[in-house]
Amino acid sequence: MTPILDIRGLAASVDGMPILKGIDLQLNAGEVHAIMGPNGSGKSTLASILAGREDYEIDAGSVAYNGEDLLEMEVDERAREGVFLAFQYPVELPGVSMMNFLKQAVNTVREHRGLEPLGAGALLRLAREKARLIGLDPKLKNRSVNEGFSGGEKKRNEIFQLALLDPVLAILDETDSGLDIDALRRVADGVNQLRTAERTFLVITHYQRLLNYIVPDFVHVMVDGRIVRSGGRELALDLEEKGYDWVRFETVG
Amino acid sequence: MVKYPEERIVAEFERQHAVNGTWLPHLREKALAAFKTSGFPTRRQESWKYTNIAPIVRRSYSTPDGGDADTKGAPDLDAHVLVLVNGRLQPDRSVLHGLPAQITATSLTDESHTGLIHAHLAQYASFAAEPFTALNTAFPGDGALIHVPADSVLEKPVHLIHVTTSNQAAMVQPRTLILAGPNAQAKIVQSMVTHAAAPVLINSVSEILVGANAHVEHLTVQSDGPQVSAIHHTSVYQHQSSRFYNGCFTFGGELTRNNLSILPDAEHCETLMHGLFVARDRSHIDNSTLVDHAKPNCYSSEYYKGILDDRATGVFNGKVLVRQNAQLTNAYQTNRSIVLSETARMFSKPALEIYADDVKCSHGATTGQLDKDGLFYLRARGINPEDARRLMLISFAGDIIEQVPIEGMREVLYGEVERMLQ
Ligand SMILES: Nc1ncnc2c1ncn2[C@@H]1O[C@H](COP(=O)(O)OP(=O)(O)OP(=O)(O)O)[C@@H](O)[C@H]1O
Ligand SMILES: [Mg+2]
Repeated sequence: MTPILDIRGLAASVDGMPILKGIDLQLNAGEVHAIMGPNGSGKSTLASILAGREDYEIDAGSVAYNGEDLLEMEVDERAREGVFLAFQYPVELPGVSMMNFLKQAVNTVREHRGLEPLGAGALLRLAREKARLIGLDPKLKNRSVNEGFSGGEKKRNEIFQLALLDPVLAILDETDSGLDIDALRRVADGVNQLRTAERTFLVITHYQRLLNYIVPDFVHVMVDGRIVRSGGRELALDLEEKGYDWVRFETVG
Repeated sequence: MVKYPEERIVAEFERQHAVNGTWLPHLREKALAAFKTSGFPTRRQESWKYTNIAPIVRRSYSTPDGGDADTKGAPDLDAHVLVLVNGRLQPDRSVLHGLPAQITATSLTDESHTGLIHAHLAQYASFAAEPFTALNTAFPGDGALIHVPADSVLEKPVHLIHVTTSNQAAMVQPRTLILAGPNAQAKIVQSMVTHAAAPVLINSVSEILVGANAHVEHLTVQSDGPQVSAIHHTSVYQHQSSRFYNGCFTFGGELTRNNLSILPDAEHCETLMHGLFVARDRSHIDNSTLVDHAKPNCYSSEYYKGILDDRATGVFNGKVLVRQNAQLTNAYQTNRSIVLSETARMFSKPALEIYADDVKCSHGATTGQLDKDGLFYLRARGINPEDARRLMLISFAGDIIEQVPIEGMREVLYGEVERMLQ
């Protein structure tokens, strides 16, 4: 079986400064992988490179998505092919109305999949249903994208878009940070309902707490641009207890 | 013998205008003398530093008067319609039934309104320091008068459609006088439509009087191909506690200069000046505005935006003058532009000149490219780069368009922006 995502020896830098120093990671269909790791270890960099941000120099390695060279694909092409990044810091788009944005995004992706575009009414119904799933205030639909949204609203809005765009590979970059406990549970419930046998998740987080709700199949620990340890969900519990120094020591030792 | 452009243009107008030479002869003579003394402005003058009109006025133009009215291309509004062709009113093409009886929409040569016209024409748009206004005043078309007397409310807008049509290079000079009496309310849209294969120069002057407590909303829309140049001058005089909104929209054209000069000459006036342009190819669009706060307790807010691509150039010269006794003035000015190509250029010169000490004023100007993070975010949702760019530019423009207070116009303006961005 070809993995959905196959990262081999990926090394990347910014302005000559190495950030990722050889990442190997295989994600199969339907699996949920978590990446944990200290601040600045390169988690968001990996997520950004997968989504197609161009600020990074790829120094070595490859990324195959469904057997295709992901790094050769344009940002929007990746999204249409089913790669979705829930941003750690969602961008505010003053003046771009949520509904216009959703219509454009949803219908572009649908068209790519050979589906009929949704009319205004159908889109509104779908948006309402998904907003309920995530617990997103439906009034936010009448605002500009992320503009003036609270931290938690921005994060929910990312998962709301995930639900609407129906991706193959969903990358969640610290979706839990900035959410209160109730919101966290609600969003995690939403994500769990979006788990299917085909959909693959890569969940980046600092906290074991999220992984109590979204139970991962695999946990990886990233330190200084490398995956230093991989294991089952119990690895997250060990980390919570012992901190990152524990893996750092183990690696060095 | 080489003729200066001034002489050539005057000679051409004199030939053409011999017919109605009896209309306001003293005023016109004075204006002509002023024009002959000043000549066309040059880039040596501060207010024309970034706009070079020499290539435009050097051409030889015919001066057509009247002609066939094809209003195709003008916005289709639920409005009272006044059609002017090459500066001349076309009563049979105008749609004025339903206009309340006390409200006047007619030509400036209408003899039944001579008193009103003599009392107000050229009282607000001074031609002493404005050569184009002087030239227009010397040789106007028969122009339009809109009079909304005291306490009258014009529910539907009056839509002035200025059609310019000619087979050869042509210069036309539309003239508009809008008078709103005390407590009156009026919405006026002026749109420019051109059918011409050869270069056209439009030199229009509008004067607007806003009576005490009156509300006037005035919109100009020009959307033209590269053969059309235009100098539009709008002068506004506001009485006590009046409210005035001006929306100035320019899409394309060869060279456009929009002069807006507002004098809130009494207390508690409110003035909104909004503008938007989209310039592509080699278009040059210059917005020069002045609000002259002469009296205390007034509010003005100015917001101009522009989108520039290709080799286009844009100019914003916005002056806010707060005179010494204009205490408690609130004046705000913002100019934002997006430059999409390496070869497009924007010159923005916001200027606050404040002589009173107890005022609240601010100004700001930004010129930049489209927000990269925003584009990335949109593309990360599958939206292709062209659509992402369009979505962001339309919302940039939407900031101005959403505030247009005239029904039906917002859709028209969004349509124009979309068309320009194709
Ligand atoms: N565009 C960039 N320009 C310069 N440095 C960058 C850039 N992107 C990432 N870095 C640097 O690379 C390192 C890794 O950053 P990254 O955001 O991937 O960390 P992270 O693991 O997501 O951290 P956090 O847990 O704090 O979100 C940091 O030192 C960061 O400053
Ligand atoms: Mg991060």
